[in-house]
Amino acid sequence: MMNRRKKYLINKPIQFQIAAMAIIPAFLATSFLYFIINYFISREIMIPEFIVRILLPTLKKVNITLIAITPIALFILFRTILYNSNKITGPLYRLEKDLEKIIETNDFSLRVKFREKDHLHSLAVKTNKLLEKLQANNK
Amino acid sequence: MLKVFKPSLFAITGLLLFYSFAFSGEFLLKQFLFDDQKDLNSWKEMVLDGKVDYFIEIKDENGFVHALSENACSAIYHRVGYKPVNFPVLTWKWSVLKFPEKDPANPVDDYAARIYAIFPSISFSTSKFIEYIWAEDLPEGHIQQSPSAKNIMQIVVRSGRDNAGKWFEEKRNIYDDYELVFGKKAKTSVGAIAIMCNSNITKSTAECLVDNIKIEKLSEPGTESPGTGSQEVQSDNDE
Repeated sequence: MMNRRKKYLINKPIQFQIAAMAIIPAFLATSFLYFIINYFISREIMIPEFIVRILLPTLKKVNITLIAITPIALFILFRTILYNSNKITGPLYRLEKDLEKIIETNDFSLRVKFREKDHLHSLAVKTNKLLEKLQANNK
Repeated sequence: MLKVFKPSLFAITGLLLFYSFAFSGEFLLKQFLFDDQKDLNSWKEMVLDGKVDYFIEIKDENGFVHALSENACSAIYHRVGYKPVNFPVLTWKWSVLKFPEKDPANPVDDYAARIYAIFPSISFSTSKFIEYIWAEDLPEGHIQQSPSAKNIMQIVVRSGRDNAGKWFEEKRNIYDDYELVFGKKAKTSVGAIAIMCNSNITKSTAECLVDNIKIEKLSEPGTESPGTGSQEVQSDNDE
């Protein structure tokens, strides 16, 4: 089994879809939380002058901080998702390529190879068992 | 069979209760008499810049809120929740004992007495606030935007220092006032009524009394509409 994959972006549509599936709910949940906190604090303070003097300056600081850290957080999140999704899309891509080669060559002695840190190892093991059986039947 | 109908029965009973309340002929929605020391327990205090002393004072069995601000700014509010179109009239009695010491050349947002009608919305910027103020330096009927934000409008309902110590009853149609100051009809509910006495900007002392806040319908059946107005009242509270 090989250890490292050079490319992290193996299957763009699927990996971007996985990223979207993680980033969009995270963004919505954070926005909702931000809104809810803002809403309840406003409702608690109630007196407008106090909201202007206490809450709004604090919110301004929070907003500036959010504007500053959101791109960094998004970048880290995207990289993490890409790295982790690669462990799934990578072996699937590998499996597809290896099977394609076996079909083309009709060589059942070939085996599917996954990297050490990849997920779905059992899929490779079972595919290889199937190939072993096919190889034995063909003899 | 009963199991099937149980939720529906609850829903129908709830709806009936809601409609019976919403469409009842009740004239008075809420009244704050402040005749008991515990009457301020349901009011919440918010402190901005030093605590104003809000307490119930009882004179000849008649109580009222006494607010004393010494270089302070805090307010008390009571949560309500009603459509102003249904109960547009806000009535209260007030008296100012001491005005903050303002420089006439530099009017600031310190008022001995103000009553708020708060229309909260999903965010502060979409919320609306009407402040009825007793301003010693502005004419009665004067409407101005608060220096704090454009969604806070101040209406001067009483003016001048001459009437210090006298009790006045004010009656405002907050539904009409909302349209007057914001240029559109109030669609959101009134979320709270508040009282504030502050003197923190002028670093002086202000003192006011507030009594008998009422939220009611426009007119009692069979009576003339009171509309908006104010009058001096002879009160046992007179100092």
